[in-house]
Amino acid sequence: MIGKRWFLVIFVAAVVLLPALISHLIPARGDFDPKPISRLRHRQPEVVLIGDSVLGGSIDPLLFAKMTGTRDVELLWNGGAASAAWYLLLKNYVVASGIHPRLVCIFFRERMLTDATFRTTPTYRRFLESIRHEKEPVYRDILQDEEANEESALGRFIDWIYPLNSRRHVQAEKISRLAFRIAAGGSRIGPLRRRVNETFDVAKLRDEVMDESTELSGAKAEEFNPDPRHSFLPHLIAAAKQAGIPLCFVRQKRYPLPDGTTPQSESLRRYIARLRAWLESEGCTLIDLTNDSEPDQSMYNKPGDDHMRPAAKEKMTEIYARKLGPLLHR
Amino acid sequence: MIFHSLTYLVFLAVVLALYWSLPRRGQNLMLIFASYIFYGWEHPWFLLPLWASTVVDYGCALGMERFPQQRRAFLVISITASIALLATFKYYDFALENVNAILANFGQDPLRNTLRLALPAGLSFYTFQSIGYVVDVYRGRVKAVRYFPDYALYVTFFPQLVAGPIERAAHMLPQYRAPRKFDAEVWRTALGLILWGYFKKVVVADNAAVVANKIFALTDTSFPVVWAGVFAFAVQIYADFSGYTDIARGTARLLGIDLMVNFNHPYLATSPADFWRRWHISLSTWLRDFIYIPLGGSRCSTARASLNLMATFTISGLWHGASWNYVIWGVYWGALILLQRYLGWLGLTQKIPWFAKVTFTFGMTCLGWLIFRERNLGQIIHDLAQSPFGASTEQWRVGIYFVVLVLIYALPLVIHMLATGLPGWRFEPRLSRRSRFILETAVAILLLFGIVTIRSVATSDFIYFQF
Repeated sequence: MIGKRWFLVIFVAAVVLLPALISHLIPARGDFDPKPISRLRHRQPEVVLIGDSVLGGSIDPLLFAKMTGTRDVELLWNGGAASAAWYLLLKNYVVASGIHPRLVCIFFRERMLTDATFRTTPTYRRFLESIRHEKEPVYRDILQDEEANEESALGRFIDWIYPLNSRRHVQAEKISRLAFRIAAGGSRIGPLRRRVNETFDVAKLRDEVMDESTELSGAKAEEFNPDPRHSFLPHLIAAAKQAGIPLCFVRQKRYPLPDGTTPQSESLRRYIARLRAWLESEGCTLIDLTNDSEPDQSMYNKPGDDHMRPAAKEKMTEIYARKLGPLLHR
Repeated sequence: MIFHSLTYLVFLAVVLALYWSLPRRGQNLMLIFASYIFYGWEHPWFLLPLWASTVVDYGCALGMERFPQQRRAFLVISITASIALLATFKYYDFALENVNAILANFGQDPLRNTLRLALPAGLSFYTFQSIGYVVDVYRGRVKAVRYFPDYALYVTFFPQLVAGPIERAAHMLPQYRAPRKFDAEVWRTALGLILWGYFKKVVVADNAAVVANKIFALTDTSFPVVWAGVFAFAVQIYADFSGYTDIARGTARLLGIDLMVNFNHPYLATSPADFWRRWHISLSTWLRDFIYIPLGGSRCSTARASLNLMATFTISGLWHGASWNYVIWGVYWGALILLQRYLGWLGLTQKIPWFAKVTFTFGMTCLGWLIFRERNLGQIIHDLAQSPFGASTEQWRVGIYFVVLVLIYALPLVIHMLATGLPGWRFEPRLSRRSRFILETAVAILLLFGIVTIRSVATSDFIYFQF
């Protein structure tokens, strides 16, 4: 007859160990999404624009192509994307597709280019997982190194025992897809997914809600440092160079003051000056919209928000075309 | 310190190891010390109002027994001190805001002495628990505690300090005075309860919170999307609060202490009054015993009884937060219960089938949650003005998607509710001790596996911490 204490010991051992064992048996990540590669190969765009939701909401690729006289423009953006995502988008899609665009532009704000962990928390992992391969040594090394400083030893130990713990977004995606299938009632889930995304367009958010995609307080206020162990920027440039792709970086203008200027700290000015010098030494171009009079406040979604109003898209596309056009016709 | 953090798990392991190696008096002193560490972990100054409340109420209760002629004075001092704490930290700025709004209407300058103090977590819980003790001593239901550490532990016991249950002295003090015996069977059920609580919090509540927060961040949306958000919030707040209570009760059991049941399948309630017999039971019984009945309860004229009920629910609303939407929420529930009473007197509620009653009550509860969740009165009106007939098929599909998504995460909660909460039927398979053990272990494994794999990537604080 097993005593109460033995029941307790078996209970604790089974509850702690079995999920750990199962956790190691289940594939720990979702599949790489190869669709953009075939799309790029099929379309062979002359210009590729990479950025986050601020880019996605402020440019019309068809209009941009028409204004700059280019054949086709591909827009690769995702809400909440930052340097880790941009590196993977360039390497795994643009370079991997074997296309030869005349220009690839990366759109950023403030210190996003060198803040490797910015927007790599679990909330953003779902997208990052879908654009990375099983083996990504650069991605793994940089993020592991940075996260090791942020997570406790116990946290890392638990992640080691239960590897699925750090891959929760994969299961979240499966559950979301199941919900989409049920709600779509037999129809394709793509349109419904798009409709859900449209429902949460940043233009429809309440004023008091600070949209994370414009919240740059997480971006660390550090001096410019292109150390390849802590930043995706040098790897991004190396990947483009290897494929012979010309790179241009566009610093987007944040919500300005009524006179059209955007306040900047002295350390940020210093950072941008060093970034420009370094990018130019690497053969890249930096276009900084911060000191331009346009866009003005009236083009922005709402005070404090870096997203553009839908009505300002055409004008903003025109501004981008005016700035980037000369690079295409050099 | 919060329950769903690694720090707490390490803290609990250390507390349990020390606790079970000490004699009873040492156990109590160690628990008080541990509770202060738990409570002051992030904001050590939170301990100051807690200590003030403990010392004043301990002294007043003793004073009542020592100077029986002055009992009433001691009661008034104690209650005034507790209300002063609540007023300072919770209601002062709210009151000032309203005074300023009135002054502005008369073209007067606003008063500028706002306090902007952070609200100490759990203040409303432990002040109510202390008031309950002092009133019970005043009424002669319990004797005043002479040994100070016993009372300090009654106020500060860490599993229930921050979000209840709001315990009664008659239930807790005898337990703190009695020797505790380690029982492996109790430990096993306690661990199961803690796992269930964590599952409710980090899987069900936090995933539902993602949906609710998204929808309640929209300026303008359609009927199906608004109500999908309300449904998500209904699931979130229940899983969040009852999950906290389960972790609290499980933790207390590991320490040999029994805490009261705080939830009894509230979404299976058949009427508004029934809902409050099942939801946050420790608060609703506290309000009944210390406000409603002293006001006269229902043993008076119909008008007076109605007034008593409305006053009790208004206080309940205000207890939840210093904001008009909480007051309206309290009034809403009071009005619903009054309506139910009058319909009951007219005999209109007897022939309604059980399922219809539950559906109707859940619908009314959701309407209440909309008022509770939306802070802005204009937004509440805007949400309520959405018509189901004005929504497109696509908008309905978006709403259905969110409801289905929340239901998938909440499925274990729904199964548990149907298996153990339906009237006249309870899933109690006749199993041998060993088979029952295997079943319970399998469920616990699934719960931990769920916590590891599908807990939300976005975690949030327990909702009731803010009250």
